Amino acid sequence: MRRPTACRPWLLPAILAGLLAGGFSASAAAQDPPENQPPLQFIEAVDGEPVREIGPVQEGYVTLVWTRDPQAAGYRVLGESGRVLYEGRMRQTFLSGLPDGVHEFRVASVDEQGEVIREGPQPVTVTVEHWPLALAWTLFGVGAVVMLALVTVLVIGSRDSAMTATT
Amino acid sequence: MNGTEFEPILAPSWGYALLAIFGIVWVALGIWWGRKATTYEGYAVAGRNVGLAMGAATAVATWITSNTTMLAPQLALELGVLGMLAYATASFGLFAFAPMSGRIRALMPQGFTAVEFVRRRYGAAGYFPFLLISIFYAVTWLISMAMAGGKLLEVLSDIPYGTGMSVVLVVCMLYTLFGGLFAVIGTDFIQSVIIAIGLVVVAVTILMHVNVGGVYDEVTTERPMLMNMMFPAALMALFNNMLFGFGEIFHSNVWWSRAFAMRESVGPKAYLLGGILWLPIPVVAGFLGLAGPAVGVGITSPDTVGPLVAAELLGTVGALVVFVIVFCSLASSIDSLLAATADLLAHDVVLPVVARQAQHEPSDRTKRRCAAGAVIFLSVVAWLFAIQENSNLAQVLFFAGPMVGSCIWPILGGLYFRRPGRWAACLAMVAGSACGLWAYFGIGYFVASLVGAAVSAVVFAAATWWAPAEFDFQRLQAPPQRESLSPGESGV
Repeated sequence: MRRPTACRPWLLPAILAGLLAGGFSASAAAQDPPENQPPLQFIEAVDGEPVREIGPVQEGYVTLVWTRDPQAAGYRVLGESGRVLYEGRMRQTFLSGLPDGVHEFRVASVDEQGEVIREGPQPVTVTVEHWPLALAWTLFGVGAVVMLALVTVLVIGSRDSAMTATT
Repeated sequence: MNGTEFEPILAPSWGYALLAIFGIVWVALGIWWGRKATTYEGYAVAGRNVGLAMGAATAVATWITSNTTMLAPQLALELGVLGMLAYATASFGLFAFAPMSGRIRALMPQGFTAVEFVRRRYGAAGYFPFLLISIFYAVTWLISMAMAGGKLLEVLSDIPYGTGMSVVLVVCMLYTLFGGLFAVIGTDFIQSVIIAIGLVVVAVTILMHVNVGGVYDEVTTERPMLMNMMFPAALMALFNNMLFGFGEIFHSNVWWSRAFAMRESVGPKAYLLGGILWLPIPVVAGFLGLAGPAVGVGITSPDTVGPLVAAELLGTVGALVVFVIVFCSLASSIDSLLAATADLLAHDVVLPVVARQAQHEPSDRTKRRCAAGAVIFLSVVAWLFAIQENSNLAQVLFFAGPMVGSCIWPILGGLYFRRPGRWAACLAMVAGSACGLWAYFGIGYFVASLVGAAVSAVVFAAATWWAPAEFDFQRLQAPPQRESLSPGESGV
C-alpha cells in the first residue's frame, strides 16, 4: 500500500509548514502605532489605528492600548466613577468581568511621583453584550452529554479489557 | 499606589544570575543522565523502567506548564470563578488516562509512540490526519511555551524577550539532546519538587497577606461578572476546557511516551497520583488572577497576572520564588515536548524513509542520531517563530483545540474496541477538526474543542456502525515494523 510520507518525504513538512504559516498569518501582529499620533490616544491593538468605540464584546473583557507620552513615567486608566483601574508603565491594560452595557474609560500620563501630567484627548467606550444564556446552557448540556459518553465508554472498555485479561 | 509599579519586580542581574545557574545545572544533569541512554530504547522511552515516584512526578511536572502559571490565572481573570474551575478540570484528563496507560503498555509492550499505535490500528486513513494533528499541536505548543518564557522573564526582570526566550529554549534543547527521556524525567522530578514547595510558599503567603473577603468585595465591585455563576462565556468554556484537556492527553506523544517508559502496572497509579497532586495547583494559580485587581497590580495582559501578583505580594524573595517556579514549569514542558515530538518525527516519519531506502531496519545508532537531529530541528523551528515576538502567536495554539478534541474517540475506541475501523477514525478526526475550527472562528475559542469532540463522537459512532471492522489486538504485541499501513496485519 502506498504510504504518502514515505514515498514523498517532502509532503509532510510542506503541509505542516503550510498549516503553521496559515495559522500564524491568521493572527496579525500588534503593530507599533503610526507616527504622528497624539499621545494618550486609544488605538487598536492589531493595527494601531485610533479607536473611540469598541464592541460589542461578548465575553466582558477588553484590552485597551494607547499611544506613548514621551514625558510619562507611567500611565493611569480610570473608569466611569473616576476609579483607578490601572496604574503602571506599560501602554496597555486588560479589563474584564464587565456586565452588559456601555462603559467609558479614560487614560492619563503620570510622573514619577504619580502626579498627572496630561490627560488623554478622548475617552473610549466599550459596549458589552454577553452571549445569550440559552446558547450557553445548550453548549453546557452538549458538553455534559459528551463527557458522560466518554466516561461510560472508558469504564466499559476498561472493565471488558480487565475481564479479558483474567480469563 | 507607589512608584514601584514603574520598575521590574526582580532586578535584571538577579534574573540573569538565576538563568545562568539553572541553565548550567540542568545541562550538567542532562549530560549525567545521558550516560544511561546508551540505546535508542533508553533514549526514547528511558529503558521502559520508570517507577512510581518518577512516573507521578513527571506527570505532575509535565502538566504544570507555563499555562498553569499563566493560563489558569488568565482564565480566572477572563471568565471568573467558573473559568478557574474549568481549568482545574484538566486534571480529569490525567485520571482518564490512568487506566488507558495500563492498556497501552499491555497492548504494545514494544511500542514507542502514539502515532505508531494509530498507524498499526487504523492504517493510512488514520495515520495521516493523526500525524498532522499531533505535529501541529506539538509545534504550536512548543512555540507558545518558548514565547511564554521570553515574555515572563521580561515582565519579571526586564531581561529582553529575545534573550530570555533563547536561553530557555537552548538550555532545554541541550539537556534533552544529551539525556533523552532519562534527562527529561529526571529533571521533571526535581522541577516538580521545586514547583510544589514554591506553590505552597506562595499559597500560604497569599492567605497571610490577602483578605479573601476583600478580594471578593473588590472583584464583585470592579469586575462583577467574574463572580457570576451564570456568566455565559464561562458556562460554555467549562466542558470545552475539560475536553481540550482530554484531547491533549489522549493524543499527545508526551503522555504516550511516558506510558511506554513506565514499568508495567506503574502507569495507572502514576497518572492517578499525578492528577490528584495537580488538581489544586490551578485553583491556587487561578486565585492569583482574581486577587490581581484587589491587590492593586496593574494588569497589562491577562497571561502575566499570576506571576505579577505573586511577586507583588511576596516582595523580592517572592519574586525569586516566582522566577524559579516559572523557569521550572517552562523547562518541564519544553523538554517533554522536544523529547516526545522528536521521537515521533524520528520513529514515524524519518526512520521509515531511511528503512525503505536501506531496505533493512536502521541501526540503533542511526535511530539515536535521527532523534537527536529532530530535537535540534524542532528547537530551531520554535525559535524562528518565537523570536518574532508576535503577541498573537500563542493564540494559534487554540486552533489545535478542536483538532485534539476530535482525536478523543479514535484513541479511546481504538484502544478498547475491535469494531471501529479506519474510516471511523479518519472521518471523525477530519469532521471534528473542521467543525471545531468553524466554531472557533464563528463563536470563540471557548467552544471549539467541545464542538470538535461532539462532532467527532457522532461521526465516529455512525461510521463504526456503518463500516465495522474486526481488529485483532494481538497484532499490536509484535515489535513495530515499517513496511505497511494496512491495519490488522501482523506487525505490518
